[in-house]
This record gives sequence, structure tokens and C-alpha cells, in this order.
Amino acid sequence: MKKIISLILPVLLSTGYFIFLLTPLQRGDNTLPPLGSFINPFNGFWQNVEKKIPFEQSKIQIRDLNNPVEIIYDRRLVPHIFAQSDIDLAYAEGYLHAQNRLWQMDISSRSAGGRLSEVFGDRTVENDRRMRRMGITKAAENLVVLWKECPSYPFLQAYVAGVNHYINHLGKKSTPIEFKLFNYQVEPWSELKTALVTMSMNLVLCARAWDMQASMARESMGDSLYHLLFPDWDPRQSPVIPIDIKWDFVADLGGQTYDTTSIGHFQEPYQNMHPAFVGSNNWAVSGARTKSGHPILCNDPHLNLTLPSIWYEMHVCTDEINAYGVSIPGIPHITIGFNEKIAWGMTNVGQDVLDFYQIEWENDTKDNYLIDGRPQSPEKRIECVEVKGGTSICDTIIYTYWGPIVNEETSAIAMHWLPNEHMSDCAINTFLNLSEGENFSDYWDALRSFESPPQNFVFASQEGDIAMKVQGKFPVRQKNQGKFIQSGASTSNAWRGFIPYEQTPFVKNPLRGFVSSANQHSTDPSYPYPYHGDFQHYRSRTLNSALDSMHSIEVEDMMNLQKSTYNQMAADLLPLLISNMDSTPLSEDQRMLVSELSKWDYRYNGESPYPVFFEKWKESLYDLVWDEMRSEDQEGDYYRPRRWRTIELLEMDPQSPFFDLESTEEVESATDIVSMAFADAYESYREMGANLNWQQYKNVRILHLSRIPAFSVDSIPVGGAGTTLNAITTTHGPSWRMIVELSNPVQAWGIYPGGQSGNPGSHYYSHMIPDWQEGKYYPLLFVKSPGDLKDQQLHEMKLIP
Amino acid sequence: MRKLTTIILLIAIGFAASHLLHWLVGFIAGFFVLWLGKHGKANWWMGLVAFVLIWGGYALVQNMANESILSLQIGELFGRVSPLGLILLTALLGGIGGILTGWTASAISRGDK
Repeated sequence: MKKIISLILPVLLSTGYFIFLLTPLQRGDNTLPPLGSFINPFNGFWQNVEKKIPFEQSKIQIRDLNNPVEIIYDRRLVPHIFAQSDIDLAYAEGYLHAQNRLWQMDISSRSAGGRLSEVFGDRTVENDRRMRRMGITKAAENLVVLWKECPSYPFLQAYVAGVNHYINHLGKKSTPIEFKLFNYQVEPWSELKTALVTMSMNLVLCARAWDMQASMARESMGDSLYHLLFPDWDPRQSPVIPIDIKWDFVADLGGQTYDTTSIGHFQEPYQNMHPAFVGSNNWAVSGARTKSGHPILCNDPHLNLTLPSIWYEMHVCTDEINAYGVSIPGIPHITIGFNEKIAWGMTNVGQDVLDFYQIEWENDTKDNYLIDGRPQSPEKRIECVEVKGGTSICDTIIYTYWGPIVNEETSAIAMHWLPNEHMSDCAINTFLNLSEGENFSDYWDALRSFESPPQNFVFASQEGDIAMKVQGKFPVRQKNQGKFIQSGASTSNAWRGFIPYEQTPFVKNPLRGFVSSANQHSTDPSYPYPYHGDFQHYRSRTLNSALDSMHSIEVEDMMNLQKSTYNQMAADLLPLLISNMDSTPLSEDQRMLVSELSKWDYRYNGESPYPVFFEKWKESLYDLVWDEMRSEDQEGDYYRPRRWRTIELLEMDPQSPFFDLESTEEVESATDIVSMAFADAYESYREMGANLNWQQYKNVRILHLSRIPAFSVDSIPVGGAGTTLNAITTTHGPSWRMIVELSNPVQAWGIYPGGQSGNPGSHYYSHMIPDWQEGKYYPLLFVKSPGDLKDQQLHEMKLIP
Repeated sequence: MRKLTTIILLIAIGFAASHLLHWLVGFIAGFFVLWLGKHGKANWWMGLVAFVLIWGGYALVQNMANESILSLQIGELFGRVSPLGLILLTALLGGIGGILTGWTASAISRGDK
């Protein structure tokens, strides 16, 4: 018996131990990967460590290529791709995106497609169900069908093949660490996944809406008060298209008026997924304003700062193209960049392209809904969210004439969103054509195929032209139509077509010698088509005012402007606060603080304590003024008037009854409220510790896409704010800073807060963050042949057919 | 001398099998080397030494090439374990596998008799 036990015991223990090493571990709500699979040094995480030169192979056989492709990685791991045809180039782009950012591509497409729960389990189920309810996958499927008709479709096919070549030859060792950590398999790439990444950009940039909140606000306060508190136009602002531009056409808004009936109260109004300060700056100055006599173009898109970064920098070179810029992993071609003749960049337009309609069911069975009195049968699609470690959750998505029903708590509300409903998009053409463009005419033609998300496309050419086109597929609506929930029972409430390409706002070579945009209104109210949206005015005022005063501009001036921390909102509000407050009861310390604030230059520098106090004072004032409209969530902006309107009221109408607090019997004045806000802010400021400066208070962090703290960078000491040109908030900021001088040859500088590699174990994962934080720029190595990169070469790789 | 030869053989075959096939196959190969070597109870510590060196040594080499960039981050995931701690943990997991492999090999060798 003893002999049998001594034989069986080690076998059992060994078996048990190896089963333990192969079994996923459960820690709280998280499933951890099997310890053996993750830690073993042969194909676990140790294989994801990278040397200084991360690539082992220098020659890779790819039979699908027509000709060899030479790739030179420079010292920042930027690939310079030299191909002999555009098709081979697209293939190589796909290969490199996958080689450096495969997990990011996977998770971006899963996020938009509502498939995160397959990786993360229960905690992402609601997000996935929301994506399914919004019809994102169906819209992506439609997009793929449309792309098949686009001239550049073969390039998309080549791109997808390039990604899949990398995936098919990817051993377990080289699988990105996140796949190992979350213990799931790499899937083949597809055109649908590229479409889903495109949809994710639409979600970030044009899915903000506040129709339900606006409807509720109008319902509670009435039409006239609503429009008094929520006006469209800030008279101080400086729109994208200069106000001296005259419009030589009349808008056809459709004869029939829409139904303006006030609709409903919503317990769970549509919540925006992305914050208000997702914005950007771009501008171009003409040669008449620069020292060199050549135009200079600048762009810094402000997006959610993540690791891996949203952008992948690359230089692409064929017989037809020599272009440099940043691309989005998952999508072929350079999105923002320049070539030997032209440069282009983008900011978000912010016009509202998302409306909601209340569905009227024919009867309680909800089988049919009514349109113009006639019953319509909705299309139903069952969407199942697979949940890791759990059971699938299936929803029936109901598609109506207007779009998918997204809210059914009190009444059925359908979402009518441009990218879902009205795309005939060939945006993949736009970026290829821009890369190949030589002049203004090519830029004009390239933008024609771009529809969504609407963007302000800035342009400059070596020929000396500068231009700005507000480009997208903009719905034609009557004034105020689409601000509130509309009845879905009548087609008279529908969009009345789209603004023709030639009539979307545009300016070329304006007299003032520059074009610019910073997410403000596209035009002044004289533009013939009514529109509304989510606009920001302070950065554009700073920008236009600065550019107006600048002459003999040099590249360094443009760099300094991109990094400007001057806050126009503080400049507008602080003098009003100081002049309106009652200083009699102030202590000596408080008086000193006010005195110091009055000398402040309104710059949100990281080391300065003044922005901390000002922000406290401003927000406290805002809460006290709009105490009648209490909001518990981040969407408070849309229950309550915008900050510029609050400042305007304080300046123009300090006797306004809105300064009276609802909770007290006394009647407060603006002075009372400003003084109370000061006292609140002072108390809170003291509690935080008087030495707290702006960068400590703001605590900028760049999170890994899965929010793993170990793969994130925390407490980055930088200044700026959402309303300064250097628009760095806690989680958002300039995701790519680019400056291009259209000299001959073209010279350019750029940087982004991250690194070219998506691998946290790489030297190139986050290596640019310290330089970005210090405001440095790298000269972009824009060359014509591989030989020109000899001194800058890190690694050479050849893709051989 | 014979034991040293077996350990060297064990490391070479265990490493090659783990590297080329699967880490689990490395232990199976190790089992056969130790079983055929017939070192009795010495199989325990021979398995331990060989697999500590295979797992820990390889992890150490990988870590040095990377200047601990990744191991610092992974260590944070494991509750702020240092890179050295992570290498030791790797060696420990390999070493336990080596002991059990050696124990099983010696038990089955005894059973053969």
C-alpha cells in the first residue's frame, strides 16, 4: 500500500500542479490568465519584452506583394515605407499597424461593435448593449457595402490583407501582452473591423446630443425663457469663416414647417459618452504673414489621451505619393499630414447631426408604428452580447424609419444619426487623394467624398494658397429643428436633404491672411442654413486675436501659440468677479489673494496656483447662479446655461433674478452670489492646501486603453485647460502637435504623447511623453529615398514578394 | 560527474522542448531524462536546479535585454513585486514543476524495480 501511495502521490501532485498552472484564476470580479501560460518565459509575458531594436527579422517573405517594399524605422520607431505601388503601400501599412498596434486595433473595433464583454466580462455589458442598441454594427456593415463601390476599395482590401498576413504568422510568443493578460485569442482582421474603427471615431466626434435634456428644460421653463437662457450665438465669438465673407446663395429649407410641439420628460435621458472638451485647433497663415514668405499650417487635435496613442506616425513613399503624418491604427492612409506640395489638418465641427424622434405605436402590441397616419412594420434584429465567464445577453433591436429605438422607459425614442442613416461615404478616398494632392484643386476634390464625422479641414500649399472647408454631410433643417425631441409620426419632421458640397462653409485666401478653427461656430448667423451644435468659443478668440496681431511669423511662434496657456474665459470673468464682490468682510489673507489674482496674467501654467482658485470660484458661482436647475451628472451643461451665457448675464444683467438663491428667503444680488462663491472657493482651497498648484490639482494622466494602472502614466506635470489653446485637461489634450512650413523642400515638426509601439514592454511605448510634456517638437524626417535616412536609421526591414 | 551530465542534458532538452514546443512539454521531456538517468531521490534536486535555471535564467536574460521596462509594470500588477522578485517567482514556478517532475520520475523508477 505504501508503495502504491508513493507512486500515485507524486503523479497526482504533479498533475494537480500543472492543472493549476493552466487554469485561469478568479480574483474578485476579474479573471486572471493561467499563471503558467502568463509567467512561463517561453511564450508568456517575458516574451513581450523588447530590446532597443524591437524587430528580429529584417527580411519577410510576403507572396501577396507585387514588388519589394523597403521599410526604414528611424530612431523614434517611425516607419518610412518605400513601395513601388499604392496597393503594396496599403498592404505594408496594414502589416505595420498590426505589428505595432494589434491589440489597440482589436479593442477599438470591439468597443464600437459592442464586443468588449467577450474580453472583460460583466463590467462592459451595459456599454456593449448600448453600442448594439445604437446600431453601430449595422451601420458599419452598411459602410463596408458602400466602400465596395469606392475607387480606393482595392487599397482597403490590400490593407486588410496586410494586417491578416501579420496575424497569420503571429506566434503565441509575439502575441501582444494584453491578449495574454485577458486570456483571449487574436481574430482575423476584416473590412468590417476597419468600418467599426471608423464608427468609433464617429462616436467620439459627432455622437454628442442633448435633445432630451433640452426638451425637459424647455418643458419646465417655457419656450421664451429657454431661448433667453440658451441662446445659440455668443456675440463675442469669432467663427471659423470670417464674418466679412458674404454668402451668394439662398438656402432651400423645404416649404413645409416642422412640428414644434414640446415633448416629454425622460427619466434616463441620453448620456453622452465623451466629454465636451473633445476639441482641436488648426490654422494656416499665408506667406504674407510669415518671415520666410511660405505658408505655415498647424494642427493639434485634442482627443482622449491614451496608451497606446490614438495616432501612429508614418512616412509613405511610392511613385505617386510622398506623404508624412499620422494614421489611425485600423484605417489605411495618413489622416493628418503633408506631402511635398500641400498640408492638411482637421478639427471637429461640432454641428448637431444626431436627432431623436418619439415613436407613436399603432396600438399596445407595439408591432407597428405610425408614420403620416400609416402603420409601418419595424425591422427587428437580435443582437447577443457574449459575456466572458457568463451567459449571453440578447436584445431585440428595433429599427424604424428614423433609426434604432434607443430609449423605451417612458416612450419609444428612435435615434436618427448621420453615420447610421445617411452615409454614402468614401472617406477612404479622401485621405489617399490628399496624400497624392498637389494643389488647392486636388484638396477641393478630395474633400468631396468625406461625409462624417464633419471636420474643419485646413489646407496650405506650396503654391501659396491657404483654405478652410467645414466639411461633412450636413442636414438641412429649419431653425431650431432638431434641438428637441420631435414627433416621429410625421415625415414633415425629417431632415430636408443635405447642404450641397459647394454651399458648406468655406474660405480661401481671406484678406486677414490666415484661416483657423478651434471648434467654434462655423459661421456667423448670416449663413443661410440654420444649424446648432456643441461649440466652444474661448480658444478661437485667443487664436484669432493672436494671429491677427502676428507678422513675420516663424515656426517657433507657431509652436508657442500651440502651447499657449492663456485663458480667455478667465480674462472675461475674473475682472467681473473682482469688481462684483463685496470686499468688506474679507480677511487679510483673502485680500492678499484677491490682490494677487487681480495681477494674474490669466495663464494656466502648471506651477501657478491661481488657476486652482479661479476654477473653484468659477464653478462655485456657476452652481449658485443656476441652483434652480440642479444637475447631479456631468451633463449639467445642458440642463444649465453655458458658461459664456453666465458670464454675459453677470456683465450685462447683474440684477437678473437668476442671481437670487431659491433656498433662502432673502433676495440675493450678483454681488452676494459672487461673494458667497468666493467664500466657498476659499474654504475649499484652504482645505486642499494652499501650496497646491494647477498641475497637481489637474493631475493629467494618460491611461492604457484597458485602464490598467501599470500600463498607464500618471501625474504628468503640465499646464493648460480645456479653454486654453494648449487644451490639456485631466484625460484629454493635444494628441498630435504638427507644424508644417510649405517651403521647398517642405519642413515639418511634430510630437504626440505616447510612442510608436503599442507594447508596454517596449522602449517606444511612452517614450515621447516627457518631451511632449516639456513642449518639445521633433523635426519630421521627410525624405525622398531610403538613403537619406542613413544617419537616423534604427532598423531596416524588407517585405519581399 | 554522471549527475552533472544529466543536469546539463536536462537543461538542454528541457529548454529546447519548452522553447520549440510548449513549456509543458519541457517538463515531460525532463521527466524522461530523469527517469532514464535513474538517480533515485537525487532526481528531486536535479529537477529543481535544472528548471530553476531554465525558467529563472531565461527570465533574467529577457529582463536584462529590456532594462526591466516590462517587468516593472507586470510587477505592479502582482502587487508591486520588483523585477528581481518577478524573476524569482518565475524561477519558483519552474522549480516546483522541476521538483514534482523529479519526484514523479524517481517514484516511477522505483515502481519499475
